[in-house]
Amino acid sequence: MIGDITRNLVEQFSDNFGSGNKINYAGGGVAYTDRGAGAPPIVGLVTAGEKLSKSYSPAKLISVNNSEGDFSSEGKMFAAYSNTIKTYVNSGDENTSSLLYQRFFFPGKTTLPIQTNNSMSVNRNRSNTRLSLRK
Amino acid sequence: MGNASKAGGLNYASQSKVTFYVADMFTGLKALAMTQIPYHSWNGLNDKSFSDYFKTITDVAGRNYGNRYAELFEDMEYDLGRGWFVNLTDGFYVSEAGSVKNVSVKVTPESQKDGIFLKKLTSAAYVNTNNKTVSDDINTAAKIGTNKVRAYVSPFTIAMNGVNTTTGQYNGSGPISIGIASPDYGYVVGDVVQSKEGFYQEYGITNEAGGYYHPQLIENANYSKTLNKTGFNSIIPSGRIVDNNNPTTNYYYPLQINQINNESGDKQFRGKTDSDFLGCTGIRKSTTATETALNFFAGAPELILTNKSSGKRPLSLRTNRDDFSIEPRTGLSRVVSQAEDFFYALSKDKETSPYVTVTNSAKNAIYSFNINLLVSPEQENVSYRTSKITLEFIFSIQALQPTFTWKTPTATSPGRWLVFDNADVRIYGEGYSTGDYTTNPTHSVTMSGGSIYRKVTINN
Repeated sequence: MIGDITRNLVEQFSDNFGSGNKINYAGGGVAYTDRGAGAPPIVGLVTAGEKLSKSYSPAKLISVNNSEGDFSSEGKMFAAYSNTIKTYVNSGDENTSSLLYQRFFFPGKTTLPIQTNNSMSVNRNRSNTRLSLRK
Repeated sequence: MGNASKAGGLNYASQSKVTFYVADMFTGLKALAMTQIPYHSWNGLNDKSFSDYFKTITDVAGRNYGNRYAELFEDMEYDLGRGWFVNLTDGFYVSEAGSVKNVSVKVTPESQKDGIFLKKLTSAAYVNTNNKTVSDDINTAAKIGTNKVRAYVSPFTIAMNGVNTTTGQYNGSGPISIGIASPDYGYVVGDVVQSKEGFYQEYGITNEAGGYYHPQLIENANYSKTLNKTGFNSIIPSGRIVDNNNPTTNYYYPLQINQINNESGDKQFRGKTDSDFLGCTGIRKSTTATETALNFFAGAPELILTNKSSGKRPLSLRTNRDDFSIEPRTGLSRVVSQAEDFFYALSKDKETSPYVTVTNSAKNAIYSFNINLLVSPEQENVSYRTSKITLEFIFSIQALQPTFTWKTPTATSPGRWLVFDNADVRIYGEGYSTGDYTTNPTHSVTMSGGSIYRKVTINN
């Protein structure tokens, strides 16, 4: 069941990581690993999902643009389903309900890239844009 | 070239200083976090006291924000640059023949010391020049100790914005901002522990499947069959915070059922043209990044991985909670603690401590340091004068209070900051040393006229 929801997310909506739906998220924040000499390991117990996800850098979702006031595009789509929700409203077929496919907005920013000379600078290829103000 | 502040009009200056009051960032978020109180429940909770707060603060037109939460988030994030990211500067321009115009810029630290501070401060999220992960670089954390080093990764990142105008796109010409970047986002997959379906759902998982997943793994049509085979009954958007000084578990913040089961009305949209599939903006019809962040990190409880079984599932994600008469732990509380720990570590780290001023100690401590940045045109063949901007960071731990309440540790429970212990909001700004404050995070000044969030000093 939950796989059906994620498949529909990929096939029916944009702004997710699925095939053909490239969201504007190019390394918007990456590695969190910093163990330090003699420091405890960064994680001890982790869930199976995290072990399966270990080839991906954490999704900070900082570079996901938010066109201010535009709720139908950009941002990041998520699947959301639980059998504890008894009625999926607004739809005869519960797989099409809007509750299952929810868009969230994240900061459209450019984190400062590090340079080889121990400085940090705007990466000219990575500047995001904020569009005009709302309304 | 110069930098400018929008407050009270555009001020052009080739040199300026921005004093940033770090506590205001968190006390302002506490004000906004109180919009999440309907998703909470604990013994003795008086949720009306929190919703009443919004009737006491007004916008520039004098209208109170009671039940106008979307407007409050938009005013804070879009108009004021005060949200999950807070603007330190508003933009960079060149002055040419009497007119001020946008320009693509590059920003570099003035000295090696400034570079070290900037790198440590942004260690929660940064990219290298090739957009590759920078990992296992101990220079990116503030460290305490020599024999057994504890590394405190910053919960912050520093970010830039470009600007799009009718005359073109200008890289880096927009605000420099500081934001909270320790969390990442994905999904929690598992079986809801049924007895908890009202508030604060917990999830049964196994050693082989379930728990927190990266969205890039989940959002793959080929992976859907694998997910179906797990037989789990829930897939919920979730935040996560990895605490690199905690050896036992990460922290998970899946949205609650009462958050996702929230029809979004006029903010619905079709997946594709003529598609039967509908999407929605979820939660509360908002389009701000700040509300999204607070949905996860103030509206949802903190879960941890435990070996408590649930039905057929041998493990579970459980609320990280030991006292049911107060709020559960939340992500906002977690990042406030991370920020406090990080500034303390900066004051001890051998690379940064000579430049960090510390007044008082513990919950009365005040940390401050400067970072000098040079701003110059991206194009190296133009001859605009380089602009210098000094960012002064002042973090008064005392100024977090009483907006946040420090719950002292016990033999069985670590200390933590409470977000919902009261409905107080005090934004002290430069009143951190005098006790002067405002309760309204949309105000520009305190009751006595002191700057809040930041103070811009122009020095031509």
